[in-house]
Formats: sequence, C-alpha cells, structure tokens
Amino acid sequence: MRPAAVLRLPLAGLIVLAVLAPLLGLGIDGAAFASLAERAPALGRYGVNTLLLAASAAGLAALLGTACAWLIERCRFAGRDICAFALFLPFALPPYLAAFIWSDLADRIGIGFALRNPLGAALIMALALYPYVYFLVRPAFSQQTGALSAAARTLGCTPWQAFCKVSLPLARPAIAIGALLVAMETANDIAVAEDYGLATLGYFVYDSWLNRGERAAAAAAAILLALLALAASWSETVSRIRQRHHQSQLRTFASEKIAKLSGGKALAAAGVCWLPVLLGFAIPVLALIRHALLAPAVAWQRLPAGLLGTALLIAGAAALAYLLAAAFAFVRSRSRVPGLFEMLARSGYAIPGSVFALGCLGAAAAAASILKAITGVSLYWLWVVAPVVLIYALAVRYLAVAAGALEAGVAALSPGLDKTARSCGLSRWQRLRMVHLPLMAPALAAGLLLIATDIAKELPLTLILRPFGMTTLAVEAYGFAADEDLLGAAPPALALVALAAAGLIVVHRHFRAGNRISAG
Amino acid sequence: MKKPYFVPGGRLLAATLIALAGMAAASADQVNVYTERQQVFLDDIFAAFTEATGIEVEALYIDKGAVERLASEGEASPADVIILTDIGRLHEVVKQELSAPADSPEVQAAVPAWLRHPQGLWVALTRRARLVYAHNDEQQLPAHYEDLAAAGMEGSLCLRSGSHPYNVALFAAYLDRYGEEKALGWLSGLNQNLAREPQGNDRAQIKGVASGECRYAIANSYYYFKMLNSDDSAERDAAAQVQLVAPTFVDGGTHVNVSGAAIARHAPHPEAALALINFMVSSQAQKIYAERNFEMPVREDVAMTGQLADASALIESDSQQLADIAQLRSEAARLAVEAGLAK
Repeated sequence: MRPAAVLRLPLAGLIVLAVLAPLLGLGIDGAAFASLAERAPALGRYGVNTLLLAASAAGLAALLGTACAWLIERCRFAGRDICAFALFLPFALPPYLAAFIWSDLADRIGIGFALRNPLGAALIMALALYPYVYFLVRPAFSQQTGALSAAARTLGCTPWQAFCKVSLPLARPAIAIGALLVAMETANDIAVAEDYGLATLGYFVYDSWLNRGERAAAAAAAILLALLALAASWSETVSRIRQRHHQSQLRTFASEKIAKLSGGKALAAAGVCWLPVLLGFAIPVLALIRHALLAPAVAWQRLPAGLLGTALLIAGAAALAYLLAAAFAFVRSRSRVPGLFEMLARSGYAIPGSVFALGCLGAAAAAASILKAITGVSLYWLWVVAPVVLIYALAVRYLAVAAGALEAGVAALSPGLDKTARSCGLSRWQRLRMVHLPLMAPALAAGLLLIATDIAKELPLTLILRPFGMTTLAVEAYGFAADEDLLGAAPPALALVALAAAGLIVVHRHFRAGNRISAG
Repeated sequence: MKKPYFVPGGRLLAATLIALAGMAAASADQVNVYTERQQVFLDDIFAAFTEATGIEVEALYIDKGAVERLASEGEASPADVIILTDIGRLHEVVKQELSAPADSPEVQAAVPAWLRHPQGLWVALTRRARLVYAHNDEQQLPAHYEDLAAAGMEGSLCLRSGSHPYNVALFAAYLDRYGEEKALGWLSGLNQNLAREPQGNDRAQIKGVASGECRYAIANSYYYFKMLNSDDSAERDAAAQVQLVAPTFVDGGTHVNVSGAAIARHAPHPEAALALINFMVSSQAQKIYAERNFEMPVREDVAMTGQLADASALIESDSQQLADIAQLRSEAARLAVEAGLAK
C-alpha cells in the first residue's frame, strides 16, 4: 500500500474525533432523549418556527447574493467596480449589532414593532449574511465558460432561460453551500431572537441551559437542532451527487458575454446591487459613526488590545481550519458514504455557539484528565496563558466555511485538465502547485476572507473560552451592546468594519489574479 | 539519533510554559475573577481595590457561561471569585457546589441577611428593581403590579421577551407569593393588556412609552437612569418624557433582583478572594456601583445621589427570599408560555 493509503484510516478517525469532540463534550445522555420525547409537541413548534425563519433568511440571502453576483460578473454598469467591492461589507457587522442598530432607529420614530418580528429578523439576517452566498457564487459565475450558454441560446433559449437552465445549475453548489451557512447561522442566533422576541430552537437551547439551568431540556432541543441542520446539509449534498458538471477551462475560445447596460437597465442593475449595501452596511455604519463620536473614551482606549487579540485568533484559527479542511478533502475522496464528510464538516454550525462552547469545555476537561492520567501533569494552565482551546474551537466551528471554499475551488478544476497536466509529466506536487492551486485561488481567497471575518466577529466561543488578558474587537463591542449601550459599542464595531475592508482590499487582488490565470 | 536531541528541548519548552503560567496565574498578590458582568461597571472598583490592598485583579468578562466554565475546570480552575447578575445564576453556583463560604464579619455587618446565602455561598453586591414607566402626562399610575393586568387596559403594556431572565424573576416572585393559579391569571391579564408582542430590550420599552407606542412599560430602573444621563440626546429626550413608578405587589414589596459574588470552591487565592468581596461591600465600592451603574447598594448606609436616591426612597423594602425566586424560575417560565407572554 502507498503511504497515503496507510495514513488515510487513522487520519480519518482522528479528524472525525476532533470535529465531533465539542458535540460529544456536551455529555448528552439518556435524560436528554427522554426530555426530547416528553417535550416533543413544544419542541416541534420551536422546530417549525426555526425552519421557517432559517428558510426565509437563507432564501432571501440566496436571492440577493446570487442576483448581485450575476449582475457584477455578467454586466457592466456605472459604479460596478465599487459596488462589487462594497457588496461584501455588510458581512463585517455582526448580525446582532445590525439588528440592535435597526431596532434603535425604528424606536426613534416609534415603529419598533414593525421591525421586531420574524419577517424583520429574516430580513436583517439575510442582509447581514448574504455575502456568504455572494462570495462563494461570484467565482462560480466568473469561471463559467460562455460556450454552454451560447449553445443554449443557439438551441432557442432566451437569455433568461439560458441563465436558469445553464448558469444557475452550474453555480448551484456554491449557492447551496452559502444558503446553508446562512440558514444554520440564523437558526443558531440568540441575540436577534431575544431582541425580536422570536421562539427559535437556538434561543430555547441557550435560554433553558444558561438562564434556567435546565440541562436536559436544552440538550433535547440541541439534538433536534443538530438533526435538522445535518439533515439539511445531507440532503443538499446528496441531491446534487449525480450532477457533476465539468467545463472547459479554455475560456478564451468562448468567454461569457458581458452585457454592457445603459439607461433604465443600468439603473435597475445598480439599484439591485446597491440596495443590500445601503441597508446592510451604509445606514448601520452611518449610525455607528454618529454613535462613535459620542462614545466614552474607554471604548477607544481598548481598541489596540482588541485588534491584537482579533489578529491572533484569525491567524491561528483560519490556518487550522484550512488544514483541517484539506485533511478532510484528503480522507473524503475515498469515503463510500455520500455526504458524510460534508455533514461532519458542517457539524460545528449545527448548534448555537454558546452551547458549542460548553461542549468544548467538556471536551477540553476530558482531554486534560486523560493527558494527566498518562503524563501525570495537568495541562489546564495552558488555558490560562494561551488560547489553545479557543483556536481549536473556532477552527472546528468554521470548518464548514473552509471546506466549502475548498469544495468550490475543486469544482473549478476539470479532470481533463488534470489528465493533460499528468500527460505533460508533472508530479502530484507540481500539479498542485502549478495547476490546481492557481485555479482554486479565487475560491480559497474568498473563503479566507469569509472565515477571517467570521472569526473577527465571533462571540460566544471567544467570550467563554478565551484566556485571561485576551480581548477581541467583538468582545469589546459586545461588552457595551449587552448593556444596551450602542455608543460604547460603536468604536470597536467600526474597527471590525475597517479590518474587513482591509482584508477585502488584499483579497480582491487575488480575485483578479485568479481570473486572469483561469482565463489564460 | 533524533530522540535524545528532542527530549531536552521538550522539557525546556514545558518548563518555560509552566513558568509563564506561573507568572500569569499564580502570583500571590493577585485575585482572578470570572464574571458575567460587563467591564465598564467593574474597572473602577477593581482599580480602587488594587490601590487599597496592593492586590492585582485579573478579570475575565464572560457574558454568559462563567459558571459552566468554572464547573468544567474543577480543581484546576484559576478563578478565585465569580461575579454574576441575576439570582438565578448565583443559585446555579450553589446548586453545582462551586462556591466556598464568604461570611466574614465585614460581609455580615454590611449586607442584610436576605441579600446573602445563609452560609455565605453567595453575597449580593447590588439591588436592581424592576419598575414601571409611564408618560409624564399619564394620570393613572399603577400602584401595584396587579394593576397592569386589570381589565379594560387592553393595548397599554410593553415588556421585553417573557422568557428573559429579568421578567422570569418577576413572574417567579409573583408565583412565590400567590401560587400557580393566581400567577397564571396575572400573567394572562398582562398578556391581554399588551400593546405589542413582547420584544426589544429594556431601553426599547422606555422609548416605546416616549413615542406613545406603550402606555406602561416594565424595565429595570438603572436603564432609565442611564438613558437620563446618556451622551445620546435622543435617549435623554426619550427618558425625560417618561416618569418612573415603583409599584408593589398588593400585599407590599417591590420586586428586586440582585447582582452578587461568590468565592470559588477551589480558589488558588482564598484570602485575596475574601478581601475582594469584603471590599466590594465596603462603602467605597458600593458608592462607585451606585454612581457608575445606577444600581442600588446593598448597604443601607451608603448615600445615593439625586435621582437614584429619590427612586430608592419610593421602593418599598422587600425581603422576599431570593432563593425561592431562583428555584421557581422554570415553573414561572412555563406559566409565561401558557399565558402567551413567551413563545
């Protein structure tokens, strides 16, 4: 057997254990399942609410993200370049903060009730999270060859039919992964659900465990939530298992036609693209800037410490997440159960962050006592000085994003290309370096930006698992927001926005580089 | 021969890390705090403590989950003191046997018996009253919490989610006094009188009164004072249009919740931990709490200033057993769902 094959099985076991440890660490026992049966009717009600909310937020986000990505990639209109850039920015704001800001604005004119309801929450979540879809779908559109839609047009399709029958199905994996992430994050949100008075499973799990100490009830709801998330994830993967589309990378022969829009059409396209930027970013950030001018000095003074902590976590956790995702891709390629590894990769998203953090505490405690039994040394002090558990937790939590980016990147490779490279006598590593990585670069870079921004604004894990003396921008912002003080929250929130914008500038360059290579 | 080379390096690394850990967590003149309170309230108090005693405070601000982290760390935990809000969370510490007694003469002298655990397993640091707000022009002010559930007041009341701990504690206080049947009746009455679905935070309820959406609102008093003293003119203006009402239950007493502290059972620095708690109930620290966060001190001899003193004078002292309220939370939350106040 080749060494790779020998490695595969233990590696698979290790990865599965590492990824599932936080869920195992929750210590879910028979009592939880008994509680699940006992509370079935009530939990069923929460489950339906959660599904409706998550589906509407994901649907809206998919619509916004796909429409904007398509307009940006396939049309030219005034302001298109800036808009392409700005469409990512709403992602820099944690959804809860956008929700609080809109809530406050609505209260100022006495219409808070019109916003704080399930529909308002779905809209807020979609506006804050559609960049998941937008960013994963854009590379999918930009790398599609025009030959297929041209063929569709010669067969009598209208442009709209060609889009629906050719372009959209080709982008479907990216759309589905993005929408799933939006749905899972919505189902697991706590702060928006609490403020908007929603009855979701995510809120129920948090509320019963951390507010009332009802562990069994919380665990029962967490099981249900995880099952729903995993079912959605599995059905998404399995439903497209037979849909393998490969396309020529020789785009110079048939570049997709770029439509130059003018007049009313250009105005409409610009309107569609600027609307999410306006509602999801410009208005909340203008409010934040106004708040920041009135913020107490202490909110500004702690920014450097917050920035340092944020940078440290991004560096550590993003690297680990990609490493895990790569190992995942390695073992997955031989898996015989369709969808199993995709489902595993997304399991970190399957339960609310605060409960996931409790699971990490449990897993860390178990690991520490096993290590102590073997070595005789307690490793608990590591928690006090280094964010070991936190970095691990963040990497597993956002593994879904890294794996999604990797998958989107792999989708851009065609087997024919690999065969050609092989016939040129390139080794495995040469193919990886010279062919695969350059083609995957746009998707990987987009994924990196998503994961870094996710880590930067992450809350419950960072709050609960960080060591003494460590703070992040998100922690600083929440410290004020939890006291219902939006003024103090503004400076760290604006720093988060600035950080995301800086990351975007860096990644955007790779985007274009990637396009050039695949087009060449 | 790679192995012999590797081992000393590993030992050196381990020794360095252990030394680092020692510096960070085990210094004698230090006390480690886990807290679910926010940094802005505690910074000044910790600074004053360090100045008075020379003991450094290392604090970790964990909005929710500090109790669970302490529990999972067990004997290895570096935490000396845990500071929490809501009697329910303090009760959780006792239930999971995570705290050690803090019943020094200082604590006993400063804190009335109903504001601490009989064995000192938690000690309240501040009182937080849950009061009612109405527009300045409102003529009909509720004298009792029961009045908010009276017939003929449909469409008048605003409150945040009925499952929020602040509301659940209020409901549990009622349940404790009057039993399940009356509590359900009261909660159903509140639900009937709602001006909108329960939503928003406490400040949003007060803003709702100012904008005319709500005739009456329920919120914790310190949010009202923070709004009155906010740097944001919109918040100041809203609060200025609203008056505070301190109702009681029909047989007397205004609902009061607490924030409090406990010494961790496996505290590495138990003396420093007790010193911190003694300091936090001292007049000096209690005054900072009142000025900084507009919460009411647990000491009766701490002078409060201006608006807080006026409000505090309205609040009828109530020594309802806080532990009972904590124990009835689950039941109260269930009744709130049954009455339609929570989903």
